[in-house]
Amino acid sequence: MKKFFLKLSLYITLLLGLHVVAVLCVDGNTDSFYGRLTTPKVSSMITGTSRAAQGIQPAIINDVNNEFDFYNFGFTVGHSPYGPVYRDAIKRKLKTSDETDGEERYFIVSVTPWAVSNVKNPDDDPTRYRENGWALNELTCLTCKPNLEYLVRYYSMAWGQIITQRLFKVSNVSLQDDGWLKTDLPDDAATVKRRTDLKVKAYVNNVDRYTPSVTRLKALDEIVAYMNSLGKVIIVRLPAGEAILQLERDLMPDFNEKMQDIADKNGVAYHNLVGRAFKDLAFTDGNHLTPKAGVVVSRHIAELLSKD
Amino acid sequence: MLFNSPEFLVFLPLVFAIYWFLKKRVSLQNLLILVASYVFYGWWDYRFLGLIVLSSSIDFVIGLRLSATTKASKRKWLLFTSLFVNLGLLGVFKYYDFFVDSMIESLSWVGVNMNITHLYLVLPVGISFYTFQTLSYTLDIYKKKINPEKDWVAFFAFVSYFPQLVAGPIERASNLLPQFKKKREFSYEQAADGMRQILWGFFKKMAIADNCAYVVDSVFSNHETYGGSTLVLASVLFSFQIYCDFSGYSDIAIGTSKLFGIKLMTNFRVPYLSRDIAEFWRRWHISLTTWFRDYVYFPLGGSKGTINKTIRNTIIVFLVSGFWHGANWTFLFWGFINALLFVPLLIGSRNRKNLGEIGENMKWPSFKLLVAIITNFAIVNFVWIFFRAQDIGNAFGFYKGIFNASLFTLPTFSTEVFRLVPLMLILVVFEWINRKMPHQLDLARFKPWLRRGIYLMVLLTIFFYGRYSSESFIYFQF
Repeated sequence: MKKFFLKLSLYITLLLGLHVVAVLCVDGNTDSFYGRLTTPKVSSMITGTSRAAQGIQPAIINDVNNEFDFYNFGFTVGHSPYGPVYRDAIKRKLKTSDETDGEERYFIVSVTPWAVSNVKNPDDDPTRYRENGWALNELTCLTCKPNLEYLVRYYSMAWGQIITQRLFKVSNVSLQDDGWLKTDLPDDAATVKRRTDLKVKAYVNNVDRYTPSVTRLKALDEIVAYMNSLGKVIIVRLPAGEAILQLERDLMPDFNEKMQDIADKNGVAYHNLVGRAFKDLAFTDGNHLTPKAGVVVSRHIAELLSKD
Repeated sequence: MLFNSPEFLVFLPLVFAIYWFLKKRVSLQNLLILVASYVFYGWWDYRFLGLIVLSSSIDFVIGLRLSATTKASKRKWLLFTSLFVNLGLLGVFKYYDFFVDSMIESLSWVGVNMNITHLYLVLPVGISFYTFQTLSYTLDIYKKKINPEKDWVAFFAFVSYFPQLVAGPIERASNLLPQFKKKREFSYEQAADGMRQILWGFFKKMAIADNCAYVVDSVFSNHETYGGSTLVLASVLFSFQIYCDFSGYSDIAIGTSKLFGIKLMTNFRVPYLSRDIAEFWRRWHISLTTWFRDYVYFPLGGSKGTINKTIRNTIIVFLVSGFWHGANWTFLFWGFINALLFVPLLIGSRNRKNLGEIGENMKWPSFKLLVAIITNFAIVNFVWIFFRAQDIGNAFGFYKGIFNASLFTLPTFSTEVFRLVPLMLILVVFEWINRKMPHQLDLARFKPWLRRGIYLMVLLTIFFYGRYSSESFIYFQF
């Protein structure tokens, strides 16, 4: 038994050592989410799905007005649709009124029909929501660095990849310190078309599977109300490609009206940026803005926020 | 609880330490195994512990009663009760909604619209495995092959034994129960070999299967957007995925069991090196195929009657085996196609042609052997498409996507595939070199420095390439 433990401990020590090195190497290249679960609580926040995570650049917005100090807390339509889980996670990530020094606080709530819809849940049962089993609901800490619990439970790649990503930066996505997910994807027409076709096809399948959710809309309302009690809020609908937009119209024909209702109820502005003639408007896959287009849209949002 | 989860990394050393601390008391070791197994299973969903306790209790009592009575009619009733309860549980949880949907659809074809209540029951993990395991116990007692177990702790531990509870190997009482009765001695060689097999299992599961899954899932769910060559590539990756996932689990299960001084049966014997479909089915999921052979094929008459009856029995076994895998017509189709491939060998008396070792006395495969292996793999690979497809329509759509001009274009694949190719090559080389060994990291005949170098290489490969997500094993859904 001693010989067994001795030999085993050599291999285990090596393995543990490698994992420690990996933890020391964790950064924005590790994956698309980890960084957002390690930063301290924030005063001002951007929420939404991947459309917001990639499309709204806090640095650009913060440059427009030195009162702005945004953090992008958007994830994906699977991880951060509006609902009880995201609502509670947002509250955990935001500083309370006591924790701020009387600074002005701002909130950008990015909305899409998918973010307020459910898949295969005709009873709208919150216990069956798709995000329930993920980090935002399960992690005990959303501000710990390193966030070992996330790495152990939710980081899905090989831990060795953390080291190689840090050394060689081979990933084409990079989570910035302000929560913006920067992408560096091939942008030749053929590749963009292929990605767009795949994305549209996935969403075509989703139109039949998704149904708008009363509970999610209620959670969105609660989020807006909560943020409104802390500072200034605007609700925005980001541009997307026409094919995706048509599917969104099929999924929820009255989406804009519902968003306007929530905005009116809370006394905040709703800005539907779909159809606006932005310069350099382009998408990586018909759904997500390119970094260049994101700069333009982010600046526009900042101006809207400054005006309202 | 999954083998590739942080909880298991804490669970296993704890159980191992307590187990060998109790080495002088077999009864306490068995009790520990039982409790640990229930914790292991209940970690997933404690509500379904009741089912496994029910199945164990009924078969424990039936086993004792079967042995106590010589009256044929009473013995038949007892056996029938065991079959009814076990297959009934399986039927309700696994197949009820499938039969309801099929009936509704069939009736709608003749213009009858029926509303039948669905149960929408969650399929208890491992139910297909442990019900078969307990059934084999009662069937063997009925046939007077074994005596009943009187120690309920040992019996319950046999049914719920955590390394093999949720995805096999499906053990026979004649192999496993006696091991629970005798004193287990810690053996360094056995434990070290167990660790090697666990390592190899994790390599197959995390480095190969889970990485293949990434590409396979994407292609199979969007197959209309890919060309034929890409679909073929995805089907090959699925062949590796399902093999590495399932045999990886078996390796981890068998290796884990070795740590406790308990030997489980071999479940896979390099099946993709098979020379024909009959040999493939002697090497793939051995615990299940031998179960169907012994409890379905032989009772039907096996090959003792006319050739027509043998063919009938073979087709029935393949259909039942397909259906065992899941409540979907795709699995039945898959089983049926395998039967169609097997039957010609049967008719030509060639189903037992390749019983010997693969590549006997060959350092590397001969050209003839290579052709046989690749041909058989291609056939098996082709049929796996039914197994993976969501439904029959998707399966045929997939085949249609393969057989057109796009088959001759370059495949579209992500960078994931570049990472996979060397890993799959490592697997194939190890499978060939160690084809006669119980597992492919059994390297006793190699020099120590080479052995240790290989272990290190496998460990580092898992660290740098293995997906750490708690992806469940494919066969958990069966």
